[in-house]
Amino acid sequence: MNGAIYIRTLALALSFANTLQVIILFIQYRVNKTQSGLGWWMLGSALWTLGFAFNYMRSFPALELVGIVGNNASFVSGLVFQYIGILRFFGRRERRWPLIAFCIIVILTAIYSTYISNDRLIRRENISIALAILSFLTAGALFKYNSRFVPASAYFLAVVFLVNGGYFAIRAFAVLAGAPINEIFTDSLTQFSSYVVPLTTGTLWTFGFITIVNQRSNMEVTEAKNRFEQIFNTSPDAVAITRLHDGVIVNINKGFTRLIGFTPEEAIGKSTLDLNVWVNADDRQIFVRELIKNGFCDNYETDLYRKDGSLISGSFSASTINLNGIPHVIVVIRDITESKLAKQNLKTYSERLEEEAEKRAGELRTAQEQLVHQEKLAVMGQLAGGVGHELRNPLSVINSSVYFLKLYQPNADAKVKEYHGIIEQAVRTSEKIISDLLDFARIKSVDREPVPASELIDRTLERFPVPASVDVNVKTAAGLPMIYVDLSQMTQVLGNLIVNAYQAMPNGGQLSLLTCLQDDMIRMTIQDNGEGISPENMKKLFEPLFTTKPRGIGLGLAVSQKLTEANGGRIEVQSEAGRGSSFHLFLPISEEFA
Amino acid sequence: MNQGLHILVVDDDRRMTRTLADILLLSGHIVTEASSAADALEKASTMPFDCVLTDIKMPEMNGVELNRRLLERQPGLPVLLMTAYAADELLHQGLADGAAGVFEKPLDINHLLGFFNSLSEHRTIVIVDDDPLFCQTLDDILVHRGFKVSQISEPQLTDIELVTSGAQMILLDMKLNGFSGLDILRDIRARYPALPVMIVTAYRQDMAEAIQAALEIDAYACLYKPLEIPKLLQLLTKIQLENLRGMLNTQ
Repeated sequence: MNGAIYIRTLALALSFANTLQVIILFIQYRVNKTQSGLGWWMLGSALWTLGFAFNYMRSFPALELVGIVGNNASFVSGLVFQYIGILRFFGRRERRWPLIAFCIIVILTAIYSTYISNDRLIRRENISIALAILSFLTAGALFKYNSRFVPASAYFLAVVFLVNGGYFAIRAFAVLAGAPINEIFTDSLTQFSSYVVPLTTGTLWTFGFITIVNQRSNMEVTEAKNRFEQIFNTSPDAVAITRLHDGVIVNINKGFTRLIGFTPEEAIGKSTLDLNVWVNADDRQIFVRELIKNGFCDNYETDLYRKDGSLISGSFSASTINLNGIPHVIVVIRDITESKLAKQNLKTYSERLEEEAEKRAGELRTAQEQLVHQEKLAVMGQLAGGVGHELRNPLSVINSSVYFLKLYQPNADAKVKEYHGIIEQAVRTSEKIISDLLDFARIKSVDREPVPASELIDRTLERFPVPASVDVNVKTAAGLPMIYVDLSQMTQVLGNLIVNAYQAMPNGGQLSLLTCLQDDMIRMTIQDNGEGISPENMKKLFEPLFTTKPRGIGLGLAVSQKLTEANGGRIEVQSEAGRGSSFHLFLPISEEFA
Repeated sequence: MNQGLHILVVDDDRRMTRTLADILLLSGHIVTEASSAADALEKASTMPFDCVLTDIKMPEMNGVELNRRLLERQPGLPVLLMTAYAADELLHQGLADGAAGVFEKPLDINHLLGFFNSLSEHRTIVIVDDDPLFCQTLDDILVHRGFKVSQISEPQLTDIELVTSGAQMILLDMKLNGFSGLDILRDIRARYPALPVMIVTAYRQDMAEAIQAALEIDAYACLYKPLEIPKLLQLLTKIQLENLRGMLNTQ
């Protein structure tokens, strides 16, 4: 009886001790949310505790059978939960159905052997083998999935389960080997051990659980720290941790040393202002203000001095972080000097490109304008040609009509005769305009031949007689080669230039016609001392339809230039307003003399 | 002797034909107006003209084509072209086809009138032959072909003025009734050294000496009877064209 009381007390003490363990595991479960499996352990421990409570019930005859079944069921499922907890702790998943099936078989066997056959042997074998199997499974899982971070505590736990398994295996074997199956509450060694071992193992594995969790937590912290340091140090960007309130540097990485030039020894403990890295001290203020306001700062661009005084462009990204409760700033500085330079270059380049494009576009516009101008001239020429020809017919009729009137009234009075003259003059002027237009619209075929320059001059002066008020001075160098031109066309050109010169000197003056050899060409200079040409008119001189004369359509020089160029020559002009003009007519010389 | 010409003026611009007609009428010529090439061809086929003055640019058929068709039928008809367009391809074509000349618009009327005067004075081809039948047949043929012809079948040595007046060329038989053609030729040469004279004879052998002498004093050519009419026409056309162009250029 003493023994029974003793065992009962033991069971009670076990329950109590296990309850405490459950509480401990519960606390651990609540605190340590990041690790899985802890809840299962707590449940396992709770069931185990319940098992001891059931054991206690067995000392009361009325509750004995319920106690036995409850104890068995609690122990088996408690150990299953521990097993699941271990698997989950290592990130594994249990195979649910075999475990459930296992539990049901063991519990059903326990119920059968208790209520139906009341076979104590089967009952004891059943529970011992089940617990041994589960202990070995758990130990195996610990050995198998033991991660490298928690070897010591994992081995410890594995050994605890192994021993536990071993104990139950021996118990099962002992029964089979014929060891007496005593009343449960006898104080024989076996009975005693069946209390002490669960108590010991239960305590040990709770201890083991706590250790393994702590060990793993430590591992993870160390790992995280290492990882952080690794990232911190291997980052190609410069990283610094500073105190928020005074900017004192707490740590810098190699990237920082590489970029800014300061070693950790030089930098740590000093503020960035002490190190004089800010080109604009205000930048730090703006940067910190933004950081405080938002808690972070992204790609804030500013210029910095390196240790050697050279300038770099940095892009700052930062966020606040609490280290030991003090707000710090972790700053990442990316060197954007190159990219900024590249950007600048790109900008310059694109500007230059734009400029170039603009220039090209301008050239194109000019060319196009010229083209349009040419086109306009061509159209005008065509139009003028067509219109000119068409005008010649009615002009011819007018001409014939006047002729008829003169013929019909040979003795008409003077007024009528004067009007005949006026009409005839107007017809001649019209015809001249049409001829100019047609000359401009279409160059007749050029019929070039070697001609002495003097012949061109003589013929021209003959066709365009000199007004009395003009004094002409013709000077022709001796021994000149012949020119190679279409004589009638060049007579027209030279005549044009000479008539222009006459008209530039309405009150008389001096006209010089100087001919000499220059650069394998004959140069004829038609020089007047008339009114000269203003600079703005100079530009438009050869433009068609440009004229300063009250009468005339402004094709004379345009036609002259066209004809001269068609003859392989060119016209150049020099003029000074008020002092006269010089037109240089360059003409090709005959090949025979070249 | 200045007799007026019968001139056909062709222009699609009726004001042009009208004013020209009035001027030419006042200058003593007879004018027929035509307003198209077709009109002109029709009129030319029904009456003889001394000269045709046609505009080049006309609808349907142009003046150059008209010139070609006219000369096809009447190689002896002088045709003048008028144009408002200088240096035209058509113009060259017209001249190559045998147009006498080109007048640019507005017309130089004095030049034109001068040309007509020359033409009226030197337009006739004078046939001097004592065979009236020969004269008549040749006359008919040449007139039909657009030439102006006069015939002298009873020549007198003293009539040299009559022979040469208004003549642009003379067809002279070497053996006349009682005269020597050679003597007449000598007379003509003495007064008009440049007047083309073509000698005609039926006696190639007998007259060889005289022919030689005639050619030496610039007889244009010697033709033998029976005349090869196409060859004669060709020759006359050529001589006339030279004459006409000469007249135009001396204006």
